[in-house]
Amino acid sequence: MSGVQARALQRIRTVFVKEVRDHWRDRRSIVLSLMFPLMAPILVGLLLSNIAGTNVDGSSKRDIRIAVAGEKFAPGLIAYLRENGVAMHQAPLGREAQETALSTRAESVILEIPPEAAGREKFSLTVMVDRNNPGGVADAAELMRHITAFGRATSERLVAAAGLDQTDVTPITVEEVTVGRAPNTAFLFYNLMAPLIMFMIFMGAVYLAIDVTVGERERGSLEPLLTAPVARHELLLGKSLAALCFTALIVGINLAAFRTSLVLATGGATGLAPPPGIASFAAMFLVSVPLMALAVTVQMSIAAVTRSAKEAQIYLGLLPIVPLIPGMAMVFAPVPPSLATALIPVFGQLTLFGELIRGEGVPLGPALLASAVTLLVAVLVFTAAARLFGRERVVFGQ
Amino acid sequence: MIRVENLHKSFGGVPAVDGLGFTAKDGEITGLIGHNGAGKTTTFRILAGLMHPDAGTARIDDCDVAAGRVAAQRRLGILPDVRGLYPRLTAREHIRYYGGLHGLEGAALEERIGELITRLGMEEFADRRAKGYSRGQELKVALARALVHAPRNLILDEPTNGLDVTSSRAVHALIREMRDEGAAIVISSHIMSEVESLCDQLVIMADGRAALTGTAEELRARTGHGSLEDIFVGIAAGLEAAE
Repeated sequence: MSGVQARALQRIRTVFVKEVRDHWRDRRSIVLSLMFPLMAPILVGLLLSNIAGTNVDGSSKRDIRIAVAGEKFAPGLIAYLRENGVAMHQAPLGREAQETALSTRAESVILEIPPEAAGREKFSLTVMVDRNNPGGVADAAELMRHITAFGRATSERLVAAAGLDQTDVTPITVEEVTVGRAPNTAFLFYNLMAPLIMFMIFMGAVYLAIDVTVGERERGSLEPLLTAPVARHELLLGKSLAALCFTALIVGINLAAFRTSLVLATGGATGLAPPPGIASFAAMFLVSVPLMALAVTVQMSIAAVTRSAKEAQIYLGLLPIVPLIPGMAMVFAPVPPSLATALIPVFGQLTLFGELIRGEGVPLGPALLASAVTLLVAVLVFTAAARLFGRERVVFGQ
Repeated sequence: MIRVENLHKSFGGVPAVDGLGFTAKDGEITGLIGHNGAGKTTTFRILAGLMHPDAGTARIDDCDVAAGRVAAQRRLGILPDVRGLYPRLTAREHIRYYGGLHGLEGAALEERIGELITRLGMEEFADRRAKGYSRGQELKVALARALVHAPRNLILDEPTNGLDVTSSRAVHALIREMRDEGAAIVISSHIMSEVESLCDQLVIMADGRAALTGTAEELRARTGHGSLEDIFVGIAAGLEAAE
């Protein structure tokens, strides 16, 4: 390393150390900014734990408790349900009382067997549930699974009694072979992580980016600072590295909080896929690093050209919404990573997050390309920001 | 040496500095005075490398500020009117920060910090955070920050603004001391008695130009006024009449 480079590094380090020390001492902002990344994981964890006791997609057996009206009219079905772990008790009498019981959550599901079912093998049933009660919907799905199985067994017996083969009434049978993990309600919640982490990347060190640029100007410390014999890009690099450190810290906390929250929310629940492992979260952090660099340079550029800290807060408050929009869309319609998606910063990382959340490995080509493209854009944005930072109208906020 | 030649700077077509020229020699204190809006702050900002002149040159020693900003800034110490301290840093950390930006580090920097703290009488608050400093304490920190790299050229904007008599005298003594050590010093002040007692040479600015230049004695002889304040007021009145 030449003497010139060593001196430049020393100046960059000086700025970096000062900014880190200065902001670490701003305890109120630090505490708030470290609490912020805990909010989304807690919220997602609470939502997930709410359905953890249910079995919305019916992917495995579990015991349920239902209310039954007309139990005596279908003793065969009732016996079958009991054998399969369905606990039953008497339902309220009358449709109005039943609806009230469901809407007040006194009952989760009511099975009504009409008198016409008495002594018959072919009959109709009514399953009543409040659609606004997720637990009830899950219980109803489980009940329907049992009733369908009972109906299939009855059908097979009737077909055999009629001297027919089962293929005569069901000419086509389908065997479904799925690859990868079975679809699971939990993934809907896990997929929410991608846009929320993206939001945190672009929100993490916003207050610091504002304080070290437009904040310095408003405080009157920018003018003396710029009289020091330091190249503008060195000054901005030292400040950006400090902001990058805080962003990395906040995103790290965010990821750790997500992992903890999801493990706690799904712990012991049947039917829910386990959350991604620690290795997946570590990989998500690594995939995020180039994006953090881009986020910081964009924040610094915007904060540097705004006329006041208030104006900067408005713009930078809107900035995280940009990556949030494609992120939310991809919660419901995931896009697999490819070399084409890797060319678009944010989008490329969102596709990689999706793979990691589903527990798949990250394809190396798209991962490297996405990182390289994002870093290149970050460098270009930084270069533009460094040029702006020395301009008179930026220095004096004109 | 600080030299300004035919300096021009306009904002939106309105000239702030309009053909200004003066030289602040080594071992001399030059007072740059003028009414509000005369162009002093713009001149200081050009000399500090914060603004580009539209025309003309500003030099610190042999360095053209516009062509070699960083080289010129290494030779210059500036005390701006707005002190711009960081509330969460101590006085010692402020000086260390600027020392680091000037390329100083290690034992040499710490020794220099200790020297400045003693010289400016900052021992009592050197390790206390800047939030809550008095104006005098703020000024001392800003002055130490400007002097950390032992510059041979100094620009001091309102160096005693807001100070009590005792602190003002201490600052005056320090400025004279630095002058005697051979520094070229430019000060700006609205306190005429301070300018008169401190400055070896005066540049009275009006409308972005040097309206009068010389020692206090020379200016009195040339204008026929008994005091510097009368000279200053006379120039301001002349401008108003011209307008």
